Amino acid sequence: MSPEPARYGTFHVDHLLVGVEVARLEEVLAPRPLTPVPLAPVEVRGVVNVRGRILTAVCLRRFLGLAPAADASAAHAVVRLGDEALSLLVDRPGDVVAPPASAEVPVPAATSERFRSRLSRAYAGDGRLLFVLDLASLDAVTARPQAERRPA
Amino acid sequence: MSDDGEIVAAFLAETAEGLDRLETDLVALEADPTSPALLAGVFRTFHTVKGTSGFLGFRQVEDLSHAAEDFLGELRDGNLQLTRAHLGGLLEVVDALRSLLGAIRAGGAEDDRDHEELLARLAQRGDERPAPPVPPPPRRAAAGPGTTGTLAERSVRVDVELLDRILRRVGELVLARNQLAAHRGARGGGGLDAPLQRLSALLGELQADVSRTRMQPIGQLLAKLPRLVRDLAGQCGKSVRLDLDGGDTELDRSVLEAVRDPLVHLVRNAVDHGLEMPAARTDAGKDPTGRVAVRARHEQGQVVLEVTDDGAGIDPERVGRRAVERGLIAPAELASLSEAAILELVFTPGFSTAAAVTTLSGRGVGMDVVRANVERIGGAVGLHSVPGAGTTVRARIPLTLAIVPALLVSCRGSRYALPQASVLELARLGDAALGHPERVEDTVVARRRDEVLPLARLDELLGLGGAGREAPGTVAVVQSGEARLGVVVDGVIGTEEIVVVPLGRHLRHLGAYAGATVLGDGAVALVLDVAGLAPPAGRSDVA
Repeated sequence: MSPEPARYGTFHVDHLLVGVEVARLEEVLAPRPLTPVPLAPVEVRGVVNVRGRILTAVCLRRFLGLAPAADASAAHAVVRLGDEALSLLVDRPGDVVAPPASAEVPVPAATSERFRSRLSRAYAGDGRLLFVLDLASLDAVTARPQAERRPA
Repeated sequence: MSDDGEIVAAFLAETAEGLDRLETDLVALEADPTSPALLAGVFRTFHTVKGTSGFLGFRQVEDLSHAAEDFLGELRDGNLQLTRAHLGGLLEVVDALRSLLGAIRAGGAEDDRDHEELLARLAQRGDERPAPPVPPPPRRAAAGPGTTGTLAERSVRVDVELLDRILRRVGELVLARNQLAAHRGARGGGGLDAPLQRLSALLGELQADVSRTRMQPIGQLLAKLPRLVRDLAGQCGKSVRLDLDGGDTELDRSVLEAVRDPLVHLVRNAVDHGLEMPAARTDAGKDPTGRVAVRARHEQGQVVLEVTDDGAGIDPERVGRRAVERGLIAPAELASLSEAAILELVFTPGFSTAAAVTTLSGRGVGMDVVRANVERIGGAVGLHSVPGAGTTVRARIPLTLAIVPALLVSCRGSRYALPQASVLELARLGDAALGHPERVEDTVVARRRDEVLPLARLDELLGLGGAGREAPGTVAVVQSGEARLGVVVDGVIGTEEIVVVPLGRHLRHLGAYAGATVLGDGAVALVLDVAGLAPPAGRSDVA
C-alpha cells in the first residue's frame, strides 16, 4: 500500500516556488496593513490583525535569505505552528499540488546552508522545482535586534 | 461585500455549523445505529447542504452531500445495516466537505479535488463486513440534537465582528463621557451633574450587556471532542468512553478561542498517554473501556475546566527520573521534593519532548505549552494524579479577557498603547510640572516637583534611534515598581479601552511589549510593558 502523495499549497517567493503542507495551511489572505514591531527579529515584518487574532508576520524572502521585495504588499499564508498560527508573507499564492514521491529530488547543493536548513524536501516537475518549507525551522527565527541599539 | 458574497458567507457559516452537528450525530449514531431521530437528523443536514450548494453552483459539495443523502436514505428505510466502515465513509464525506468549504472561503470557489473513490465507495454501499462492537455512547449533559427549536426562534445570527465593533463603540462612549466629566469639572456643575450620573450608570449597564453578547457556551468546543476521541481511540487501539458535562457554561468568545488548543491537547493526552491498552486494563481489574470526562462549570467568577481519565495515573518516580535525565533538575534537588512538587515537573518546558512524543500527542506541544496558553489569558493549570486510578488536569480560566484602559501615544508614525495603570501623569517639557531637561553625566533628567526624573525617548527605547530628530516634547511619566521614568513621545492620541492579546512566540521574549491590541480602526497597536522599557545606557537626544 503506497501512501497518498502529500498535498502542498504553493507560493511564489522571489523566483522560487515554495510549498507548505495543505494540512498545516489555515488560509491564504490578501495583502493587508502590517504594524511593524521594533526590536523584533529581522525576519519578522510585523503583526497583523486576522479577524481579531493578532498574528506574527514572517517574511519568507528574508527567512530563506532571498532578495527583499521591492513591493511591500505581500499575500499572507497563515500556517499552524504548534500551538499558534503564523502568517508567512509570500509574493503571491500558486496552486495546490500533489507531486508523486518519485518526483522528489535533492535540494540543490549549490544553495546556502541556511536555505537548505529551512526546507524539508524538493520536487521536480512542470519544468520548475518545488521547495517544501520545513515549518519546524520557523523556530529558528530568534532574537536578533532589527536595528542596533545605541552603543553604550 | 456584494449580495452574492453575503449569500456565500451565510452558506459557509451555516454549512460549517451543519458539519459540526453532523460529526457529533454520526459519532452518536455509531453507538445507537438504528436511532430514527439521529438518522433523520443526519439525513436532513446532508439534504440541506445539498440544496444550498446546488443553488449556489458548488458542484462538488452538492455531489458529495447528494451521495451521502442517498446512502442515508437506504439506512433510514432499513435496506442497509450501518457498519463502522460506513460511518468512516460518512465522516470522510464530512472532512471532504469541510476542506471544500475552506477552499471556497479562501478562494471563492471549490478547488479541484478528486472524490471519485469516495463517491464510488458510497455508491457501492461501502464495506459489508459486520460491525465490530462499538463503545458505549458518549453521555451528554446538554440537550440532544433536534431539541433546540424554541431557542433558535428567540435568537438571531450576528457577525462577531459587529459585536466587537459595538464593544469598541461603547469604549469610545466611555471616553467621551470622561471628557465631558473633565470639562464639567473645569467649569463647575452647571446643572449637568444629574444627567452625567445617569449617563455613567447607563453606560455601565450597556457595557455589561454588550460583554454578555460575546459570551458563548463552551459546548461548541466540547462538540468537537467525540469525533477527536473516536479517531484517536481507533488509532491507539483503545476503547474509550467520553463523558461531557457543563456544555452550557458560557465564556467570552476570545477566551473560548484561547482554550481551544489546550483543551484538545489535554484530551489527546488523556486518551494517548493516560488510558492503558484494553488488555492492561483488564489485567488491572478495570473495565477494558477507558473513561475520559471533560467538565466545565462556573466557580467564583471563573470557569473551571477539567479533563479526567481513569487510566494508569502518573508515576512520580518516572517523572522524577525523566526530569533528571533531561537535566531539568539535579538528583539531590529531586530528593527534597514532595510528590506533588515532582508531578509539577511535567509542566517544565522541555519535559515532554522526543521520547514521549507519539504522532498523536506529539507535535512538540507539551504540558508546558498548555500551561503557558492558559496563563497567557490569566488562568492557571493544576494536575492531580493517583497511580493506578487516573489523572485530572484542572484549568481555571477567567470569564472574559482583561479589558484595560490605555493611553495611546504616537512615535515615528506608529501608535503604541501604555496601560493607564502605569501612567502617573502627562506633561510637557518646559511646563510648570516638569521644567526643562538637564543633562546629568550620561543621563537626561527633568525636575518633577521635588524629584529628579530620568527621561528617555520612546524611539530610542525601541531601538529606532533618535539622533538628528528634533526632540518631541510630550512626556508620559510612568512607574514600574519603585522606578519612575519620563517617556518622551511624539504625541498623545487619547485613551481607549483595549483588550490585551499576547504576542506570538517569536516576539514574546522582547520584553518591551506586554502584548498587542486591535484598535477601533482594525489596526494593531503594540502594548508597551513599562517594566521592560529599559532606559538605554549612554547619552540621549532629549536635551
